[in-house]
Amino acid sequence: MNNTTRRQLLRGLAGSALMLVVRPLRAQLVAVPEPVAARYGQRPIAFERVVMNLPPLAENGNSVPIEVSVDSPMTLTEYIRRIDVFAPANPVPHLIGFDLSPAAGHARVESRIRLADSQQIWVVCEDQDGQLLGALADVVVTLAACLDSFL
Amino acid sequence: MRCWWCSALLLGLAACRPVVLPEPPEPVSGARFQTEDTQALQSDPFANPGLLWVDRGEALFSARPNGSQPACLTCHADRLRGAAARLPRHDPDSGGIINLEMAINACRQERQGQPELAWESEALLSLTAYVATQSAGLPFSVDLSGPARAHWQAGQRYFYTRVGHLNLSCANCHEQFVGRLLRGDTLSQGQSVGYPAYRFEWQSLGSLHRRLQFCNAGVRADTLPGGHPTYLDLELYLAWRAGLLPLEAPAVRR
Amino acid sequence: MTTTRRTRIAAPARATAGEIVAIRTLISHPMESGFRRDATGQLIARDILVRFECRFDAELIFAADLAPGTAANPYLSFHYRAERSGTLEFMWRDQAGAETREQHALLVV
Repeated sequence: MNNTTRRQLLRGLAGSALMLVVRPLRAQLVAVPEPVAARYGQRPIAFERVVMNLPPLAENGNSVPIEVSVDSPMTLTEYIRRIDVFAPANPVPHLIGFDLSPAAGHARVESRIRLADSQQIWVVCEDQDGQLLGALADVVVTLAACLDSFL
Repeated sequence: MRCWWCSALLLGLAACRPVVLPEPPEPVSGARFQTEDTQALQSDPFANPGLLWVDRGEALFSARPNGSQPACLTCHADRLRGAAARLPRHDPDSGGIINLEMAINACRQERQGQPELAWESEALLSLTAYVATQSAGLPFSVDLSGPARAHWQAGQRYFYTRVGHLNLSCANCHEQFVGRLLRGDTLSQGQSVGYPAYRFEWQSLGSLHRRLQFCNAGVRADTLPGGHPTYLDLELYLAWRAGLLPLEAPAVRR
Repeated sequence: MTTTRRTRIAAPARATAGEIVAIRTLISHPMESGFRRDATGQLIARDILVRFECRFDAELIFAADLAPGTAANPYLSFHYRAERSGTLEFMWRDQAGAETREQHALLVV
């Protein structure tokens, strides 16, 4: 005898659907893309203290503003020494890397990057002891209305 | 029966009505159709990449070609404040319309004994950008009297003429569908006040005529060379159409 | 090997001791990625800047490795804690080793 009501069944289905959505996302957080692994191996990355400012929607992939700031002191004994930006779907995924020194005062940099496609951008920061911090951001690159005859 | 006559009369009247082109919309700068980030970049007095060309243009404006010829600055101590806003204009010498690029080249040949600079060359873009910057904030005030009138009309006619395999006129996109999405882009009014402009698509500064070529290519029409009389007529019409919009070169666009 | 490119540098001329100042740089360069094709379908050869360095009286304070994924006319913004007067030196190097150099005097009061 089956006592499952239609409502229960729908709840159950919704729950499984949620699991399907959530689990790949969690897995994605753990899986380090190859270009990041090529530079930093499988060293653990703590996804904290790093803020990446990137527009969620880029109107042209040729020039997308990016700002990275790390909540860290910049002293001789404690500072961020390196910041790398990766776009795994780009033909050359390592977009730019910054060498910082304690003299920087703030661990905050800005530049403009090229994105070949909509994707998840990875920022990895390394402190004075080689500990890694990171941040992820999804960006959608829209297609232009018209294309140049020369591209 | 009477009703039939009335309808026929009305239809007849409608058919006889002269073709009236729609009034251009209240002008809105192309900047308003960019993302906030892009608008901020244009307003940034340091980071607007078009300023790399303006800097070079300023150096060229003050330099004496060959050391002996007068510099632009020798004659134009006011740095041509307002000049870009009065262009394009009818030129009695050539009998046609000339724009800023052509006025600069004419001056180079006549006053400085220098060869013409090629369209879209770094030097011509730089000089154009610098002189255009000297009119920043001013609206266009082009002269449409006398022989210029016919060119203005030709430009207006072109604006409303369908061209290319896609069979679209300027007005189809930039008047009928302003603010609507075409793929990822929001269609603007096609205002010319920001040119020469830095476009991310080009990764460079470019002239208004390059932008018109880009539009022509977009609707699969033949592109015309920079300085073509058709583009000059259209440039004159666009300058009028901009109304009181302030000039804002070098603009930053997608 | 030295080449001239248009550059823009924004940094204060004066600062108080211990003040953290913002430094911004811009340089004209196409950063040709090596992935684009010309009108005839030929690949356009890669031509990029690969390194930026900022020194204060010869001491390296900030650097960047640039790549095809860095936007054309590269823009950089970073910070520096001013402790004493001196000269900020900026250097951009392209893939062929050609360098562009600029200087900026900083007076600490």
